Amino acid sequence: MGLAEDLAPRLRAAVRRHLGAPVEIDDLKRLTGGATKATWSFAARIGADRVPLILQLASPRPALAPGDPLAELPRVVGAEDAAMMTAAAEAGVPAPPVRAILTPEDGLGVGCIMDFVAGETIARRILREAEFAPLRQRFAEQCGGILARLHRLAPAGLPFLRPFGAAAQVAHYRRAYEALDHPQPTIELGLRWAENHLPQRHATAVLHGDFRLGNLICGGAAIRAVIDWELAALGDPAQDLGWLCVKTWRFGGALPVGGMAPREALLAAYRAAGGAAIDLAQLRVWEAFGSIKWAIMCLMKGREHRRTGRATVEQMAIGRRMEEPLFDFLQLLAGED
Amino acid sequence: MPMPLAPAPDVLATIRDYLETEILPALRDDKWFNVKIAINLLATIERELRLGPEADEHERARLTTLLGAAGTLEELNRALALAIRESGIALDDPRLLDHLRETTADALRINNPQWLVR
Repeated sequence: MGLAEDLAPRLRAAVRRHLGAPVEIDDLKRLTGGATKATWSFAARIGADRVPLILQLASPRPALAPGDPLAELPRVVGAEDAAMMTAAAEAGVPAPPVRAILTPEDGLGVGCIMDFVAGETIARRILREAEFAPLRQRFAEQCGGILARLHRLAPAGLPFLRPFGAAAQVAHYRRAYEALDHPQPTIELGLRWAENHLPQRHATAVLHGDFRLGNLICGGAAIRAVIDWELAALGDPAQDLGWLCVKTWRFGGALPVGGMAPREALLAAYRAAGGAAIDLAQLRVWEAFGSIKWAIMCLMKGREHRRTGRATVEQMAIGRRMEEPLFDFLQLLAGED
Repeated sequence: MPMPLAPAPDVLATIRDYLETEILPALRDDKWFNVKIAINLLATIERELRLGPEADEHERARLTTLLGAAGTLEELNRALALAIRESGIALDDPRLLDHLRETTADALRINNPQWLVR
């Protein structure tokens, strides 16, 4: 589903169908379009009201060869994505209110319609611009609170979430890496290190799976919505906290938590909001593995053209980022921040 | 090939400069974004042409010492990867860690020198 002109009539019909009122839509704009999904913003005129909305569409997964490691990745889309966001919101996690889940008769594919949440997602602006100074002060506290509430969610209500604990994750990323047959000694070291250091046993909680700047819609003083729930799964709660501290997701900021705060502030806020006690060592193990994971993702992106036969400048650029997290991993091993 | 009038990195730099000053300002949205990325990639390839041969030579020399074997860069990296996977080398061997740090830093000098100065 590419052009706005192709999309608009079907979207108008879908909004009429689901929101149950005569509607016109305008201002349809594509916000992001990646390999896995596309996000559009638009406004629906319902009577005298003008309601800003978001359409999120999951791209069909490319045909994968049998045994392709990508097929094992959790992928929460469509009705499951909507159920995840609704459950999160009920638990007190800021998440976009879902208005409708697309059905086959909409002819739009898999996805949902939700309220537009105004705010900023671009990390560079959140880290540097004056209007976000109050948020930067409270960022670790807010993230700790949000994650503590999310991790208390009962998994029973979300039966589609897949178990993706420490051992399963390392095994998954090892398979994904080995399938590329592109030997990288530092990635090998990172995987061995993760196998030796990630917890053998750990608590299990509902995880967001990609909780970091870029996936947080921010206002000047507060996080307004956590988006991009596609990688939600059941795993070690320390994983979500560690991922937030991975150097890549600091976007040049000096401090570990999203570039804005020390790790201790996040752990204390998480604990104060009812989360489990997590110590610095546990956090750093997930942070270090997070760097290895991101390096493998860069490697996969950089080689994607061999799988799909289609090369883009963005894929090439991401492939060239592989050494950034590898360098960070080696720094963490050497005891540096 | 006859002697080129301008070395490849200089040709790339000229293309990059043209895109940046004449093309980029007129673009918007995803076209701006993709041309911006392309400009950055051209700068990366310029650095690779300038720094790559020496970095590869040093990497190969370190690998030869570390493994006590000869081969192409790819063969040696494959052998080291396998040694790490199958415990043929201690994961905390300082010579291994030094080699990996130097190799990664050399790659960053090409792919993103800014990463090293933070």
